[in-house]
Amino acid sequence: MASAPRNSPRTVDTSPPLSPAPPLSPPVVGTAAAGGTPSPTGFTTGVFPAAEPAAGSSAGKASTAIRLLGILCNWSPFACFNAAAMAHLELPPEYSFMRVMCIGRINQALILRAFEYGADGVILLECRDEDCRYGPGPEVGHSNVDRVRRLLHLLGIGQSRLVEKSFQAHEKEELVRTLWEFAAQIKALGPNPAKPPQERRSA
Amino acid sequence: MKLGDPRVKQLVQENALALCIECGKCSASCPRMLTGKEYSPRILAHKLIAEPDSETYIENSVWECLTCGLCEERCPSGVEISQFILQMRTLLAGTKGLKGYRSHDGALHSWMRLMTAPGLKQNRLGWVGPELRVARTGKVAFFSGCAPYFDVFFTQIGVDTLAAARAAVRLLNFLDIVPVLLENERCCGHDLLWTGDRENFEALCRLNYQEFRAAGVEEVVVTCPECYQVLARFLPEVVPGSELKVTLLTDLLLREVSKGGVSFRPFVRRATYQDPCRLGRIPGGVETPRALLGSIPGLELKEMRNSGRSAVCCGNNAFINCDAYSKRVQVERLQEAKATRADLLVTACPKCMIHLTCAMRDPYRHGRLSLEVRDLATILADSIEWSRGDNAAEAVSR
Ligand code: SF4
Ligand code: SF4
Repeated sequence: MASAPRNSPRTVDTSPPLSPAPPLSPPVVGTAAAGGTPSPTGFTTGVFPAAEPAAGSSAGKASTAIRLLGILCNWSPFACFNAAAMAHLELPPEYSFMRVMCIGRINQALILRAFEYGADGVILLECRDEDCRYGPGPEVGHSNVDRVRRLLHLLGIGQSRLVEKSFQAHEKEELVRTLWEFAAQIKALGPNPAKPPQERRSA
Repeated sequence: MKLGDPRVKQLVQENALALCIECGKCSASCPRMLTGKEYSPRILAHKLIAEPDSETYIENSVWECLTCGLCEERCPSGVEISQFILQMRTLLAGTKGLKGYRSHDGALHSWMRLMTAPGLKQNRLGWVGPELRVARTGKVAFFSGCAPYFDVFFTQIGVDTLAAARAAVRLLNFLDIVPVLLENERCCGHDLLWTGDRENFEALCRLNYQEFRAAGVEEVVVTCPECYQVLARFLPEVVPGSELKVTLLTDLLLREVSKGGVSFRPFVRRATYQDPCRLGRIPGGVETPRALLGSIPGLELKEMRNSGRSAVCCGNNAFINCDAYSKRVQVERLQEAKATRADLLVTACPKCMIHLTCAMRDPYRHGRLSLEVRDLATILADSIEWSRGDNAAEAVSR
């Protein structure tokens, strides 16, 4: 993925480009389900393949009971997050957030563990490659996301349950919109079908 | 865990710890101890029977053992250290939680636990190309275990664990066996078992058994010795009445070779062989791979100083507690391999391959330890052929 253009959409970006004025209502669930783009790894990105339907028949009520983890880098993404809170922008209630000094701190194990502990989706919110305070943080993030996505594909959990997206420090509306879009996409998919029994029991 | 606890007492008794005569043969063999780790099976045995207040020492020791079983090879009293360790870990994990530093921050254990989900719909067969003949149902299955997952996780160290899986299917196809490959088989659970996570281990056993049954499988062929031990020895404990036959691919091949008709094309290399611990401790586990390697014309097998039943572990087990001492075991093992002046290191376990390859890549060794590593199955698959009649008997008698 090193050859991908900087800050290329590697997330839920099947939605149309952002308009300058940010309407902050949740986007329609349908946006995330429109056509996927094949990634260099040969997997479909951005869209849960039709062959991997949401767990069971829990399309209706149960599909809203999802748990999401947002991992925020302390710098640009957290600045956006903070600014969004100051501006009283509403965030989807399904998220738990975790703030780390750099997205490069997050390894494959920590992402997988979120799924092991019952997450239905994980989003890494990082700085742009060129803005990293420490150097290779976001690049470490890209390679971890690539590899964990391949593991998620093997597990049948689906690659679209793990996304990353980078922000500049002033992009609070984009951050909020991304969070709503990701939440809508995971709601449409329903709960992660591969929850270990302990997590299913506690849910 | 108080030593007076009846459960601990029972384990001490069941595993013959009270028979220890403190000869110290175990500690003198233990790779963990010999590389300087503060751990000694002899002292562990002593404390268990004579020093009931050494709780901390005992609890820490339980997570240090590699469970390689070398001590048991040599103990004159039949003390079953590794079996004791396994049961103690299960007991401790159940009461005090898992201990022991998890290598790779526990990523492997996470995916193993994720596989306990009953509704899992994996995509694990992407490695099966059109050149392989495989089936969805049938009597004989090939179990690839975690190979597709290792392949993703360990790409950065250049270990190709799927090569062995492909080779195994090729060998079975050569013998006109079209094995069942299950899209939803799980990890065998070896690493969860040996880190004390009995609940999830048992869940994996049951799920695997269900998958086998649903596909009509009666016999499972494996290449990985850990999968073999789990499916053959531990799965029947979890699934009573399981009549699954578990066969090591090497045993199956040796049977075919000794029938005559099958031989190997020449493969001119000087090779050495790393005995996987889980293979070396079962009957035939030392001899069979050597008999097969010996059937390949041109392949010169040079034994390491410690080999066969005395072979030393690849330094880590169940992906816990990989540390500087593990590294030291690996470096010493690779130095032994290098001393044979072989240019090929053959092994029969994906974990040996992963751990030894990892150690070879140490930048401070400047490549002095590097050696081509290959799984036995890939070598056999590359040179197997139908013999032309005359040299079959000769190949076997060699
Ligand atoms: S080898 Fe056996 S008898 Fe000797 S000290 Fe070790 S456990 Fe005791
Ligand atoms: S099983 Fe191996 S690591 Fe454990 S005590 Fe025995 S020789 Fe040492």
